[in-house]
Amino acid sequence: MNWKPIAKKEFRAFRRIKTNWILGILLFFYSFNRIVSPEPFIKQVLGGRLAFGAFQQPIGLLIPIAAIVVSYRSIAGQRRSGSIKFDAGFPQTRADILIGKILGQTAALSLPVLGVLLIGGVLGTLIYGGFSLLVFSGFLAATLLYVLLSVAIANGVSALVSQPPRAVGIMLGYLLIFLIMWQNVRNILYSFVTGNELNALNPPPVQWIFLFDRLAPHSSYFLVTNAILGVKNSSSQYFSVIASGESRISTTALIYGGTFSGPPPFYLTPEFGLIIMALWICLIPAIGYLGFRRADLS
Amino acid sequence: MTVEDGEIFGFLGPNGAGKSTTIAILMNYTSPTSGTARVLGLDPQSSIRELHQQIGILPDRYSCYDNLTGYAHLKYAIDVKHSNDDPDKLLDRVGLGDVGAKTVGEYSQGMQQRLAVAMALVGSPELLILDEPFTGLDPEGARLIREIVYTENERGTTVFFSSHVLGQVALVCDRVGVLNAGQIVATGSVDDLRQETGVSDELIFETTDRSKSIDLTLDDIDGILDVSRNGSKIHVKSVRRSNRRSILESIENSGISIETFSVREASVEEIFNSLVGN
Repeated sequence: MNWKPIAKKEFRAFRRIKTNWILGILLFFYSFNRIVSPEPFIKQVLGGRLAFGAFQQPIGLLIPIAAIVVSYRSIAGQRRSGSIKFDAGFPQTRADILIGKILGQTAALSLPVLGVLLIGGVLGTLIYGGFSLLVFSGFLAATLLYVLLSVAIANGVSALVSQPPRAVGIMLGYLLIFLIMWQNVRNILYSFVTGNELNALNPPPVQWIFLFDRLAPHSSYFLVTNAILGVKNSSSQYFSVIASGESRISTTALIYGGTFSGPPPFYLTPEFGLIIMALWICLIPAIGYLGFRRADLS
Repeated sequence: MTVEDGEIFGFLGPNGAGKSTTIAILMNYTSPTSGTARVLGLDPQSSIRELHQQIGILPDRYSCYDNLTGYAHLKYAIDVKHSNDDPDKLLDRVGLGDVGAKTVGEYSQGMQQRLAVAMALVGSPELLILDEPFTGLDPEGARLIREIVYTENERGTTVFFSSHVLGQVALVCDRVGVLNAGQIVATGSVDDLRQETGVSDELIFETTDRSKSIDLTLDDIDGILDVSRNGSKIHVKSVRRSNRRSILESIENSGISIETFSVREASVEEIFNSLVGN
């Protein structure tokens, strides 16, 4: 393996790009209210953990978009401009190039995330008087894993196709299906298989549909971070999950304990969310690598 | 076609002949559909790390990384080759010493070319592959490339470069290979090719003596196609350049004194056109 030099180069090239600043600013303003004036029932459950937990949903939504903006040209664009000829002319394999690009860009995109989590941490300490550093570290680690996942997917697609516009097309499709319409996809699949409508307000005790619900990248991130924040076993953002305990609010969150009793099977545990994330991180770049391995770079 | 260790080899051919494709195969930018290539005795497809460690490449139709500085480009090349070169010295060597801190987005095409050459020199490669190195360079830049090629070659580096700028090639190369429509049509020194194609230089000697016959030994000199006399002038057509002194001596040995001497040289273009059949 010789991926470190290219990872360093990518980090240098991407650390100060505009997308990073924009992402940081959006994340901050998106979450500011959630930190300083949360609903009482949210504050009651999360307390000081809001300092960083408040970023869960904006991170879940904005990181994949930012990763596409940063990484869609990563390989397809460099093939078009010809700069890939330097990368491929150095003593590193195409696997090294792909891995190095993913890790370097992940490090660069992690900077604004780290920035806002630290600012959130300071705000949270001032408002709530502190939080567990262990929980903060866990949340941070899961979030960085999610940045890696998002960058890995964008790079995998960029490696697979030869033209940047095609990479953008595929990734917009991915955003639409996995990020925006995942609940619709789930509902359609359920009706298709069972012949019944899925009423998410009162979900049926069908385990596979709960598993399917968790397979989208952001769902697995929500699942893992919910567990870290001390929120129930669900792949919906913490607000829906906590709010579902309020009698005056109905939510469509699929919560394991709300439908089933007893401990979940391993594939419905929050820990399994890490496996789902790992699968995304490995699978899409692996598919991209198959296309890139023998691609004509001349 | 084989390029020998330690030589400066020019790879010529018209646009579309397959020069860049050949280099792409040597560099594993693309895979051959058939046939074999060996670089430094290694398979370009399976020994990428080992091979590229020993190669410096200046690719064709490349672009540098817009949002990195010139210095960062060299830092990357040095990192990836695990070499201990000094980026500043390399920048100085290609005449970019004062712009290393600027991002490449601000560089002209010629400056990018110089930077790319500096990247190729990182790690003192055993083999330098330069694909169209004179593209986009002013005469000063072209001279710089020639100097670098000579310096590296003296150090023992084999230099392989492609070009369609034939004059530059004749100046620099020990040997050339000519590619046309994917086929090698000739290899050898420029002199060899001159001989092979019969594209000759004409040497014109102005003499004071119209009557004395020329010594027959002129026929023994390699590379002479034709000798003719026209009044006080002797015309010698030769496909070699290394025999000029012998020709001169041979005429003088015949007792003819030479007043002036001029040469109408065949250009590399003429040789080249004769090879690729234009």
